[in-house]
Amino acid sequence: MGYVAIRDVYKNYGEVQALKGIDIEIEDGEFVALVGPSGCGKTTLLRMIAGLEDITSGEIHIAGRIVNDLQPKARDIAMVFQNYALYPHMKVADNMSFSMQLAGASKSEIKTKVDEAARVLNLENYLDRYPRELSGGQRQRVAMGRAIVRNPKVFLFDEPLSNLDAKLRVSMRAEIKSLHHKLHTTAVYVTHDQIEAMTMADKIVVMSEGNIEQVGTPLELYDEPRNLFVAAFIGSPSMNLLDGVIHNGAVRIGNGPDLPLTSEIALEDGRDVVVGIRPDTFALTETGLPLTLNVTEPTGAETQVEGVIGPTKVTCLFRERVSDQPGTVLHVTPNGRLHFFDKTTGLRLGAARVAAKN
Amino acid sequence: MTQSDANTLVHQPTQGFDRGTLFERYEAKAAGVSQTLLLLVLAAVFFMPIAGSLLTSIRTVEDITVNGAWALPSSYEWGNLGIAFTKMLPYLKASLIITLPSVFGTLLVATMSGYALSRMRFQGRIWMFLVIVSLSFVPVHTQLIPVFKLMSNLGLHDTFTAQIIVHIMRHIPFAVLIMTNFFNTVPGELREAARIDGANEWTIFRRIYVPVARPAISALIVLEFTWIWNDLLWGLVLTQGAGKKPVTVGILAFEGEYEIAYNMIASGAVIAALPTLAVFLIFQKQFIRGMTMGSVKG
Repeated sequence: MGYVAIRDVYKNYGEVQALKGIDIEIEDGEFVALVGPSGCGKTTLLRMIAGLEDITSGEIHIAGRIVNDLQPKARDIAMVFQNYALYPHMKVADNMSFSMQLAGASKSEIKTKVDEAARVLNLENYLDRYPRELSGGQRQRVAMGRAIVRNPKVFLFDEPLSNLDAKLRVSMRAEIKSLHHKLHTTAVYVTHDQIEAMTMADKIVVMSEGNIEQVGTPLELYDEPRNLFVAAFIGSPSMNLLDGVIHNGAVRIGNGPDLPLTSEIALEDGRDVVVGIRPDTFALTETGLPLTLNVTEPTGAETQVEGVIGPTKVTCLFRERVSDQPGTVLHVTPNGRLHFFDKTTGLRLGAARVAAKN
Repeated sequence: MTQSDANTLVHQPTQGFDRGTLFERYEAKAAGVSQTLLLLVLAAVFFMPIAGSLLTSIRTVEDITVNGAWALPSSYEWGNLGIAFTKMLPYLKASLIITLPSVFGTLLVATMSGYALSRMRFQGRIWMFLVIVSLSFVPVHTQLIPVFKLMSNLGLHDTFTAQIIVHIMRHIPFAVLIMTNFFNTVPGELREAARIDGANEWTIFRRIYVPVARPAISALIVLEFTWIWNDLLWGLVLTQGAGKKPVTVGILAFEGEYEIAYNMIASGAVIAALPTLAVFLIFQKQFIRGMTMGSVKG
């Protein structure tokens, strides 16, 4: 079936190592998002799965075959490009059926397949139009139609929504997701937008600088980031990372008071750690960490507050409405999980809560 | 009035307001008018020679001698054009036989090499491009005698083949430059999408890139047709008998030994210009319409 295995894959461009030993297993029917900042190698990896880039070393398996030496057309994949890459001189129907025409399919077979795809994607009324006569969202759907018509083992998406406006992006996100539920075809989806990855994927692969940082379900990555990179990358607004010292079963952040920790984590005294605190786990309290306010951004339901604790910039998300002037010092206490990371290696040590005062 | 007053939206009588200086208010209008005037002058400058030829073509020789080229004709000799056409017919035919294959050959080579130079990655690609394009910097006059000798030695003197080969040779650099640059603007994803769809290189070229390049190809057809059709030099150098001479050389046949039939030369020129005009009219819509619009984000 449509499982994909990537085993110890390297990619070099001359001296530059773009991918440094990638291992990913993708189950049949799974929706996997490759996510990371630009230049992390996610698109390169996708293009290697597609057969548009050579593999320097390692193996890529698709549906039980090693595809390293196969042409794109022999890999049984379909790809949706960031800029759609529709053939401008062909009508929508021809765009979608070009692969079948090349394969020598009969006219009636082509018509059945195209009509079916058009029905799934609500494109029935546009089959006779040229790409230039369509809106961005419609073009995006035609690009997906071209992929569906081929009935491939694996769909490859290369940042397919980044050329759409914000509103359309959200609705196309849902459309792609429901399409995946309908077709149950394995999908590999590249994006730099972690929200897109979180909302759509069964499994997320976080990459940076040619390495995999972590693989897991969206909530695994959110709840237990394996290192500082993933901690900062997943979640919006992103996790606050503050330097702290362990002291008698408590953590001290900057010049703030000791925050006693629950016993889920036991770290030796005097250890330097990085404490990760999600913006929405701060509560306004009488005493606690001193937060010097810089900007408040009310959105109605909640208020996003930017400020500094000691030398570190911090973002907090409060359910309360905060309307203090910049420069005011507020006191905040984390009332959710604190994530602990080793200061030198950046690796996760564990999580704990602030213990209630007795 | 204080500064704060000027910034409020209180309704006030209109006279007190600053409407800008005369220059600020009329700058755009003045620029527009002077542009139009300049364009009219340029249009007149470019149209005068054409008007002159058109007028000359329908006069008698006496009329030209007495009244000069710019006066209105004393009598309208429309028959001149008919006579010129009959006399020019063999030359027109020869020009067609030379021009059509030359344009076709130039475009065939240019589209294929433009595609390769723009889309394929091979050793020495940039150098090959530079060498091809720099060939157009070689002055045509330095080529006259060597090419004449070469064609004679090949036994191709006074043939259509010789003229076609030379035209293709002379026009490839420019056409390759245009096609390469055009293909560089076509998103590379089109080729990749086609590869995934199962197309080989030739299919991608023929079914995707050539249709997409229609505006560039049309522009090249118009330009190359005009240049090759209007060529006089190679027609003179490479031919001997009347049968193989193009129409530009044919016009010279109206130069007698003792007198020049200016009216007939002008008639011949008018007749000779018609095919290039026709080609332009046929293809103009094509190259004005941008074919890549809407292929990618827009």
